[in-house]
Amino acid sequence: MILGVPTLTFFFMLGFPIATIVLSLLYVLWYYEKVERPDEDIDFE
Amino acid sequence: MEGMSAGLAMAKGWQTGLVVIIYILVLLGIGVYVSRGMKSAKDFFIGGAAIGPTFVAFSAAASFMSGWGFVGGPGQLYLNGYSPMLVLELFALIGMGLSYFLVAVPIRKMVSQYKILTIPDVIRARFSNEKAAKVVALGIFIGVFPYMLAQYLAMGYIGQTVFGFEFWQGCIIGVIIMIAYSTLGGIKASIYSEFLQACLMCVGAVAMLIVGIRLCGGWTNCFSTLSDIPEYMVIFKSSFKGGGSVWGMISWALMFGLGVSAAPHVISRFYAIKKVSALKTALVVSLIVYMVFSWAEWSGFFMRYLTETGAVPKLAKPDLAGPTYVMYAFGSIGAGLMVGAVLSGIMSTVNSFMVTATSTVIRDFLTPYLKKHGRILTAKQELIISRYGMIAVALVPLPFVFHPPELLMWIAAAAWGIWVATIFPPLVFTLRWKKTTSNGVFWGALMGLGSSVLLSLLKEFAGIHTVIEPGAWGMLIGCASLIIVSLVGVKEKEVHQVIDTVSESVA
Repeated sequence: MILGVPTLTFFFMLGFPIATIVLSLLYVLWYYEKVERPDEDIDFE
Repeated sequence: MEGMSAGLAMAKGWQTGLVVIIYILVLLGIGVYVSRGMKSAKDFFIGGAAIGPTFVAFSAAASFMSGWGFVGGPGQLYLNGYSPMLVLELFALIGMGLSYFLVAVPIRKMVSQYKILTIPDVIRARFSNEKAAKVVALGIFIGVFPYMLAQYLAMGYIGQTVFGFEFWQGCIIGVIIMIAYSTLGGIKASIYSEFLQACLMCVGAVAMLIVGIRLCGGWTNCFSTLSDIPEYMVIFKSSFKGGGSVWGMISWALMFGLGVSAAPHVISRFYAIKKVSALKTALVVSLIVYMVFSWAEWSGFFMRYLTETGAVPKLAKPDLAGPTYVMYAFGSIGAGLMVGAVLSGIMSTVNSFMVTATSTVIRDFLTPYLKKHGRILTAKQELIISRYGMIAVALVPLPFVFHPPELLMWIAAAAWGIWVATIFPPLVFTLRWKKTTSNGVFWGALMGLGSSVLLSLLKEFAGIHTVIEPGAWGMLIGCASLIIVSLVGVKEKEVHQVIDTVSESVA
């Protein structure tokens, strides 16, 4: 086994902060500002 | 097990119990405090839509994590190594974020525009389709009670481990406390106390991780010892259902990833936030908080090390891993705080369900019924009925604590599957897809509900293996039905409706 189990776990643990940062940045910088149009009312038609 | 629990409780002395009691008194205090400003069902169910983003974010993460992080989760890690951490928790974290992407902003906009309070209200507001709204309400209802039961059982374990109570006594005392503070303060009590609880859970999770690593002589030592157990350190294995195969992972990704966007106790938080723009802050805070919570689950892993090396006797049930670890690893007051953190995870979830189930009973069944018979409630009457309704709702799952099923996870998972299958298709498509039709929403909800219930029953009683989990099937079937009926079926004109059941009704 090239990667030991502790190393793998280390990467698991790393996966959480990375997912947190990526999702946060995506939402705040792009999705919320560009996609959600926060100031407009909902229009279903 | 009884002996061991009692022994542990005695060894830790009265301080632990005292800290837990103080914690419970604080909860009740919050209930009394927020009940003073309570005037209507809107205050009771969505906190008047005036709650700050940090509170909402902590509360959403705490409701989602629930007792799982401190009881069910450690139990799974104790049994299956760190496989559940990868397949469940990473998907769950991403799902927590996706719920903001998919539903948070449109829901909060609809609260202002259409005065919605519940999930079925979303469908009512866009389509005025009472039938579809009822199917969704039914799905919420079927799912809520088993999930509440799972949380009651978790309270029973804690009562047993910390106070040496009989199992059922722990459940009943927990439920009485829950009823008291939830009926007083509604969702506001829920969100504020969840904030407090979530802070405790964060501190608890970090402490559990750090102390665990030290107790086990460091990561490397812990892992090399546990590697000697056959199969334990294998990541993808059949003993853990989610990690056994690609299909297992797809099921979990659908149910616990996308499914968060349909979890009534999580998204009810989005209704309560004070303004749309506050959701930006809330997303970031929710994700960080959820990540920290998940660290508590490693306690199951450390517990396995401690039992393997003989430091702690073997556990009778895997679900005891979390509570027993806390009692073993911390001194009396520390243990009290930790147990408070464990208890808080559970109570926050029960509280959310009580609010969700009660709003469903009142808004989706009782008020429409009264309205049909020409009776329109005043704000005060609706509030009083909501409070009594909540007591009734809390009592429904209680008789089942006397013959509880073995593992918390699988009961909760069945309930969760029914929700995501019934709620996800109609809710997400109603909010996000302009081509959705009234008929499409009805058939999407009905097929999601029907297929998930049927497949769950077949799996449980006939042992029929359905490749992916029943809830995941239900979700896919529900979405497919909704899309097909919306595209092919008759497209009626949408009748939008501002929902206000109280006094002056606007149609």
